Amino acid sequence: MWLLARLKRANWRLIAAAFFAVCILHIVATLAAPELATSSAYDRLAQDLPLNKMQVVPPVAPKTQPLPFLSPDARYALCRFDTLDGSVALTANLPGPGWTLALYSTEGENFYVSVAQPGRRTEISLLLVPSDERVTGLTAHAPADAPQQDATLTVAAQKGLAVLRAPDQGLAYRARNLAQLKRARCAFRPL
Amino acid sequence: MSAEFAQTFLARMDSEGHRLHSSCDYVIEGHDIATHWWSLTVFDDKGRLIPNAAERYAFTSDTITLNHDGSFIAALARDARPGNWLPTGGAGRLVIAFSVLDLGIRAVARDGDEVQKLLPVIRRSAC
Repeated sequence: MWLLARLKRANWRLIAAAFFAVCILHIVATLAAPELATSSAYDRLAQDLPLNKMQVVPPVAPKTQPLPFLSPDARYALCRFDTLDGSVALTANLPGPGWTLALYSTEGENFYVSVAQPGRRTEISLLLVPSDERVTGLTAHAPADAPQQDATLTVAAQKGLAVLRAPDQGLAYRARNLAQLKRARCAFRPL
Repeated sequence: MSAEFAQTFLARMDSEGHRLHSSCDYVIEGHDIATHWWSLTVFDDKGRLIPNAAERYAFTSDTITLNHDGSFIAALARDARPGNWLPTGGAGRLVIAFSVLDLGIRAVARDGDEVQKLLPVIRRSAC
């Protein structure tokens, strides 16, 4: 009876308003979480990388794991690119299954990927060009002075990461894969 | 990477719905798929690799030992096991990551049902 009397006296409008305020606060906090995070995946990966230069990073291991849930199932070469003052030329070779070359924006959005196919050696040549828009599309362009190479793709991109991934194929292949990673190039071309 | 090419599945529970934990042993059974490159990695519940003397944290479709019919069995345990063994140390709660990369032969990754068929089964063998 005492509880019933208390409930009857309760200000239900105020309780409902408080409930909705808490709900709205929860939704806003959830949506804002990525912006409030202390450092993004891009920040963590890019902090030690030189600008517009491909660099092979150490194998992923407990003491060198840069991101949670990043598996040591591959070795990586990374290039932190910025096309503010010019274009960036990317060349890489994907010799077999499991090899990929991917481009990511600073927000972590993947806007280009090339995947090696079985039985096919894939030479990748990309030209990253400045643009006011993040991605305006891909256009094929075959340079006349490089007839032996596959067509160069021109990709509109401002800042981000190029990630060349070499799958772990076992100890016998590690030296060969590392050599292939080191052959990849990321070179700045001023306007 | 774009979900059209690559997907990663995280398992926090075994096939019976029990939380994965390093105090138990597990058997992971699956089948190799020629159209995909894949990897199997064990993490603690915060996504950190589990330090171990063998420096073994993952198997890939290139490094795992397959049976003659293309199937595979991997063991998750604190102590060494014959065959495909992934050490779990004293990590506590575990997370198993299964990553698949479509090799472009066919866009299987776009079909959720097809991808589900690729997922290995995690069975608790001892606790």
